[in-house]
Amino acid sequence: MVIHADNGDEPGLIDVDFDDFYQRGYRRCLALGYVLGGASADADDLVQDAFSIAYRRWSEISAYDDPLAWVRKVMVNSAMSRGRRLRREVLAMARLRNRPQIAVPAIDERDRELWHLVSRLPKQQAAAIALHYVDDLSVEAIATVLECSTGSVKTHLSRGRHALASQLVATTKEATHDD
Amino acid sequence: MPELMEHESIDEIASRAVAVLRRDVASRPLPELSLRTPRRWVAPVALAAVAVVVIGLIAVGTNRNEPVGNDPSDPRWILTDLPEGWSAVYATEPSERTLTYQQGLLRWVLYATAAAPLGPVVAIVPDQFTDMAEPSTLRHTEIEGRPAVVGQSHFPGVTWLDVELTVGHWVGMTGAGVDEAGMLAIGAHLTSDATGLPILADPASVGLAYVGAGDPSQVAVLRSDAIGTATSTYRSAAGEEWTLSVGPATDLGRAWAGLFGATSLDDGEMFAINGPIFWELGVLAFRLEVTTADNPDQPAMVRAARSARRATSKEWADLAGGDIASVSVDTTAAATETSIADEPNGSFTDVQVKTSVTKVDDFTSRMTFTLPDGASSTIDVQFLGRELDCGTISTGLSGGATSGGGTVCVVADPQAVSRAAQLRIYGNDGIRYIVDTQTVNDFTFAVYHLDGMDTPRFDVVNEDGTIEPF
Repeated sequence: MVIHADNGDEPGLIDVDFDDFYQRGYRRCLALGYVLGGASADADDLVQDAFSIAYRRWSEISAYDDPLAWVRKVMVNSAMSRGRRLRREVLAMARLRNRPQIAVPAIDERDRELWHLVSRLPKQQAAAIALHYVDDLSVEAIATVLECSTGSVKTHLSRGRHALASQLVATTKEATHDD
Repeated sequence: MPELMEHESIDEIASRAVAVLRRDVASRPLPELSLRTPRRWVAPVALAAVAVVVIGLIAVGTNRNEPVGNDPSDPRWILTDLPEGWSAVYATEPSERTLTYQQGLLRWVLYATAAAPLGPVVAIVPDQFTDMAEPSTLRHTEIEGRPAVVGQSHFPGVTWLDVELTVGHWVGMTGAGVDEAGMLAIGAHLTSDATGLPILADPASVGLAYVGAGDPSQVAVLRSDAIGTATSTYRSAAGEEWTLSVGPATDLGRAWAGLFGATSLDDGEMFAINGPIFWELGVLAFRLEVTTADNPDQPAMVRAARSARRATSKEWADLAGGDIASVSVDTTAAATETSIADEPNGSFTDVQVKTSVTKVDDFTSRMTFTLPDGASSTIDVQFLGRELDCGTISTGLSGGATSGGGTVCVVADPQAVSRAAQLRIYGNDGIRYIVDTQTVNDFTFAVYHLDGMDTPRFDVVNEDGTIEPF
């Protein structure tokens, strides 16, 4: 891997441990980023941002029991904030939604719809669902990432699944009706 | 029950989709990690910290505030006159790149009048795929023998037109301040230049002039993450947010701003188009946008916009000096959500329902519910994978469902609702039926059959005492 340090304030030496950390963690986080990002190619940006910050603070973060959990937390927080910020802008760009995307995973339309529905859930529910399914995190681990109680996580998961089920059923109904 | 849920639970659907997603990302090459200066986000800054600094600097005009720095192109500006209860929460440094998913996708050609952004503005979108599904006002027509689709966008005052320029090659057009007849007239001028880029032939004949072509995602102010654009975000106590974006003023950006829709404010200095407030000052363009709020207070936004001034180094450092990890997750909201007891008043009398389970076959269990007075009812519950079907309804994990016939069914995934949970059903007869959850084959659920009720209200009490309404 090549790491570009294009800013004079960046560390001058590349920590081998971080290099390994990035190599091992990138793809796992990319899947999470894809779901958090609402099934858009924004995922890579989300992951790169998080790892960039991790690199800058590697001396601290490398001492954590699970540095990847820290990266996930950064991604979740960033996605939540980014989602709010971009919501209206995305509306403005809605006209372009059928245009071919770049760097979007090669998944079928049904899966894409699922992840799109996840992204439309309330932000805490979406994050809980993404962390649970994509990263196989336990309720306790999700609670750590979301900085909430395990009870809250259970609620988010429950409501998120319930909402997804309802929406998928509605989607199926519409598709059936259209046919 | 719809076909989808008869065959797959949410768990199964998600697990399959995750497997596909993982296979895809596993095959991706590892990209270089560019250690540019990341956009820096900050922990919420106390209102007082900002208010103390700005209280003496509140002004009524943007140009009445003395810039702190000497660089007139420095986009680090902040709002100083915020409504009661609002505070600055974070800022982002001027972006060095735009989001990757926008790059290369938005090659628009813009035409406008000298009155842009308030005058008519028309954008041509090469390679537009027409979309018949949205909005509903789209209608098919022809322009000089070429198939076309025209209609109003969901942005007020914005008209869409898609034209099949050559066979199979659709070109999209977006027009603000132009009605459908006008767009059809403009569409008649569509042609291609030597490179194949769709353009308007003789735009002056329809009252327009070429402004430029490019990727609007890189136009400052139009996107808060556009190159050279800095942002500061403000939040109310209720969680509403505004974002101020400041970046280089350009003709392209000015025209593009007009595409957002109908003008709701124009005082000669500032104008609002379908929500965002735009203005320019020197070489900078500004946009104040509501990022979360259903009913934005435009007068308050205008007051805040007029109070914008260049931030001091310390102010900006305070706002932009944190990192993403310290942006607080809204745990208060989460806690509130969890603790939504929403308990009905005490007019309900609790009645414990005794449940017994008899295995009918490998997939079916017979649930018998007995009330204290001896009355009982029975339903057969089928387990299909990790989905439960109880007659007229079925549901996936941790879902809740009711049928018009009166069956209440809640499936409790062990991770979502604890095993010690209780289902509570609020009957029309003033009785709250308490049903303990059951565990069969490591599958925890609660179900109750209640005749003659139409979609009764019900909730679940978790083992930790939290109440989860459905």
